Amino acid sequence: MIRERVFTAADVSGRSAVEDSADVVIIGSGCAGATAARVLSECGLDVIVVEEGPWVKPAERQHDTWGSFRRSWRDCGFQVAEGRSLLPVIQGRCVGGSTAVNGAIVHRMPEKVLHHWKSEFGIDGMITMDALERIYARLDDELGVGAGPDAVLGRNNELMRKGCDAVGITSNVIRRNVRDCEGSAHCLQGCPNARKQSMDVTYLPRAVAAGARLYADARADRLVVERGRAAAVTGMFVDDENGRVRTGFTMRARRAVIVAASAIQTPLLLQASGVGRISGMVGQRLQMHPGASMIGVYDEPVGIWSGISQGYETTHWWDERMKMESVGVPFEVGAARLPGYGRELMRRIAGFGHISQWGVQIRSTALGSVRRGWSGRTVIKWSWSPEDIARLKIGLRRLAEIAFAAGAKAVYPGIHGMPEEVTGLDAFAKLDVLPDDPRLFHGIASHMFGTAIMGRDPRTSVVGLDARVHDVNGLFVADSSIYPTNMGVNPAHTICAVSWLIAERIAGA
Amino acid sequence: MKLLALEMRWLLAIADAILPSDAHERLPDGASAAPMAEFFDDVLVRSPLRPMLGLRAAIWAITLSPPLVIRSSRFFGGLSPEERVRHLATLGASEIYLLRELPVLIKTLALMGYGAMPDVQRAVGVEPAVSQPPVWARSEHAP
Ligand SMILES: Cc1cc2nc3c(=O)[nH]c(=O)nc-3n(C[C@H](O)[C@H](O)[C@H](O)COP(=O)(O)OP(=O)(O)OC[C@H]3O[C@@H](n4cnc5c(N)ncnc54)[C@H](O)[C@@H]3O)c2cc1C
Ligand code: SF4
Repeated sequence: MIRERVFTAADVSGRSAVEDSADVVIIGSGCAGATAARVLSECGLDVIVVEEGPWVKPAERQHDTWGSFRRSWRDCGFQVAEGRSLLPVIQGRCVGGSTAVNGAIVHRMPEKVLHHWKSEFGIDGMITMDALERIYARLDDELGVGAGPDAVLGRNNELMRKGCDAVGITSNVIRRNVRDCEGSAHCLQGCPNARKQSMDVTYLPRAVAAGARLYADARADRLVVERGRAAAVTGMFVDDENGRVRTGFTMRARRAVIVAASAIQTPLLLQASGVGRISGMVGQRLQMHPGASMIGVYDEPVGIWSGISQGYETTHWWDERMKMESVGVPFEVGAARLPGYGRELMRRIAGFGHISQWGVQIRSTALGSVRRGWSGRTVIKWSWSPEDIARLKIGLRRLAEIAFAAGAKAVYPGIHGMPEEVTGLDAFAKLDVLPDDPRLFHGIASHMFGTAIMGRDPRTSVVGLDARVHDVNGLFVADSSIYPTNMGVNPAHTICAVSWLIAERIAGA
Repeated sequence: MKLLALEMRWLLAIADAILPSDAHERLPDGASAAPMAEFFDDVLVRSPLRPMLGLRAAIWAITLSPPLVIRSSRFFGGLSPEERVRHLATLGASEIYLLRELPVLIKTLALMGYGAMPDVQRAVGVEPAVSQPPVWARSEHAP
């Protein structure tokens, strides 16, 4: 990235205030923000990107998970949704957003979902299948999308393939946005060799090369509206290492402000700025793809620490609102999922080289909300619906079936009320008598949607069909906040595509 | 946030019970051989207040609850290694959700520190193991 156009808190230290102006100011540098920056700057517009998190260069990526959490993850990985159970809601918070720490799994918008958006929510015009396909083709090319090579797939993924084949279900090697993957299974700590085509090594450098300015450590606090138009963004530079405020900033926008801070932080910014209020929908309708994992134990060595982090999947039961994928996490995270304490835990840790881990993510039906709490913390309210839990049970049982079919001698279900270690599928009959209670499971969510939804009617939606906030000219939302529902598949590629379409509109406006 | 010296001692005792030394021939060193105090210090300083208050509550609850949970006359520090594990396992299997999450929180954190040490990774066979200790475990790093 051209260093002269990237500014961090250290660069502005000692200045009383930072002021800059551009045609378009973009808040957030993840999928949505970086893609918009790439499109707009290459259309010849002057662009500023403000990013709350630090600029962590690939060479600075930490191999240990805590090292990654403390620099690159929101709330050091401790963000949770509060409901009947506590559900970790994980996000990146660094230049490149969640793409810096994600699994790089690529999926396209399922046609059925887009059809539902059109019939139920009247979404048409800009976001059509044809328009998305046009952009997906560009994204695939520019972000190196392809199925992971067999040579680096790794045994965790191979076993999932073996199990799916044995059970007789459709499954596939995952398409990912990675070039020359080395199979180091470090995707979630950030790819140390920049093989993953995350936004910090692709669209942000492109945008900066085309003239965009990127401000890191720069937290946007307010949108300034003048005469009904988004005029500026104000905020603070905060030193990442010690949390100290360095200086304030004002970024003025001549044409547009694009909020691309994710489906959790975007509504907070809109709420704090008092915009998008007409419908009362800002921060409402939070939807997710929560999931949980199943561990298989084998006689043969697996070595989950090498191979592609997330290289294999089955969408066989997609119509039943579930999708399964391999989850290769670092040793120090995976080991915490092993049951027991003391000697028994140490025995299992010593055998860590013989386990597989795969997850099921549910296309949840639950709706939640996001707001800022009195102490400034983010309050996410969300609970699994009983149908979600019923599906999760089925999904976990199916994962156990695949593991046994792949040769597992045991599985660790990780479900309260079931034995810690199970050696046959029969034991899962117990699941049928357990209540549909989320507190029995250890879930996690990383795909969020719906907190500033799109629609024609300002009384029931926050942004219009062009993604402009109904009550403010020149203010757009480009991330998955605007999606009326979740998608059932990994959303990053679609978030890029939709943001691209929005940026094209703004450039042509 | 920072823990009181007493709280840190309790936390290290819990981590040691979760990850004991000499429990498996391939893993002779448990948490007590790793720089866990440095790790927890760094976690406490960097992380948001609320989860760290949760950690603090977990430390107190686990330390003081053996009389209620396993009907022992002693607190955690006075228990034998076997009793400590029984206490953690009983809490972890509690029918009360928040109680069973207490040892899970400390176990998850402890493993994140312990499991990042090169010696531990090599012992487990992680390939390639990290070549040097993480930043928080190096002597020049002060949180
Ligand atoms: C561990 C993990 C694994 C995942 N794996 C996959 C996968 O394999 N495939 C897939 O499709 N999806 C995956 N996802 C989800 C996917 O990465 C996200 O859905 C996607 O990145 C969201 O894009 P976004 O632009 O909306 O938000 P983000 O990518 O999260 O970016 C938002 C950015 O805005 C910044 N920001 C927030 N508030 C402010 C503010 N006030 N001021 C300035 N900046 C702000 C944030 O710091 C962040 O950097 C994963 C997510 C995680 C966390
Ligand atoms: S598996 Fe390793 S090399 Fe491949 S993208 Fe992930 S971190 Fe990079």
